[in-house]
Amino acid sequence: MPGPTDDYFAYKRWFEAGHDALALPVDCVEPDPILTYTNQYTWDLLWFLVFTSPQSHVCIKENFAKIHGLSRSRRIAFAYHYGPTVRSDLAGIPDGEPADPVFVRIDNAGGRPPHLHREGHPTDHIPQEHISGLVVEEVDLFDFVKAALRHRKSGKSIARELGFRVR
Amino acid sequence: MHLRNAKPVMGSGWNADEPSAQEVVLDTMSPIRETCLSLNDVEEMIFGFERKYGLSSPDFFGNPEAKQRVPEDDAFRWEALIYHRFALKETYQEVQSEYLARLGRSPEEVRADRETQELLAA
Repeated sequence: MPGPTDDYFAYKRWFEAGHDALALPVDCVEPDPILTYTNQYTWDLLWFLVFTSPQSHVCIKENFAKIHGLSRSRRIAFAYHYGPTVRSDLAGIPDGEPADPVFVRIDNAGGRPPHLHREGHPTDHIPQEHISGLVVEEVDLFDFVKAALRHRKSGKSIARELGFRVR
Repeated sequence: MHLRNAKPVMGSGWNADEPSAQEVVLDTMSPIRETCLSLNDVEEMIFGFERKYGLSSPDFFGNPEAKQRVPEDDAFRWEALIYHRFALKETYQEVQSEYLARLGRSPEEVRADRETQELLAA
């Protein structure tokens, strides 16, 4: 499982360290990442990186909740999205819909098992069985962001940067 | 919402040892914003989703067809809020149970209990 799930404080320390170590390109605008919590074992993250040239963005979301009866947490849901920016709200935050184009998106939204959406087929849910080279559920959010940054710089496909193939 | 633009601070990129202009470390990354929700906040936001989609939260979770009609971003947030509400209610129940348990005891018993707990924790 990527990132610590012991509790909110361990996760926050881990996120701050990874976040501070990132090198971002000059055309990147970053709204403040938002960590929302209600107790030590229940929290969520919302983090955007918005690129202006060309217009695209990364959106990282994950929800954590307590494991019943244990003093530990677990990730309930996640969505890591990287794609062109189609529209934004008044504050400049990208606002997307499922049919909007993606470079890549991995998530377990909608109660589905972890799956992948690939470029050109944003509404197709590609299950883990059809993906090689990448375990969707185990992708570290910082690895996802770094792959997006490399993709912008290298011009190679995001599949190559993330290291997956669709069978 | 606070937006922070990237500012190059490490070299010009002309020196091979320095990062290029396209890959620079920010002087300060955007600060992480922490938000602590109260039960009132959570209830209000959940009610907002219920009103927006004309669905109760149990219907949203119990009816896959209804859930499919809710855009993924909203479904994601709604689900997070349900877990936040559960966590808050659990915490409130623990506090209330502890409070009620103390009401039935004399101040001496409560003090002795607290001192025992402190000793055990030391």
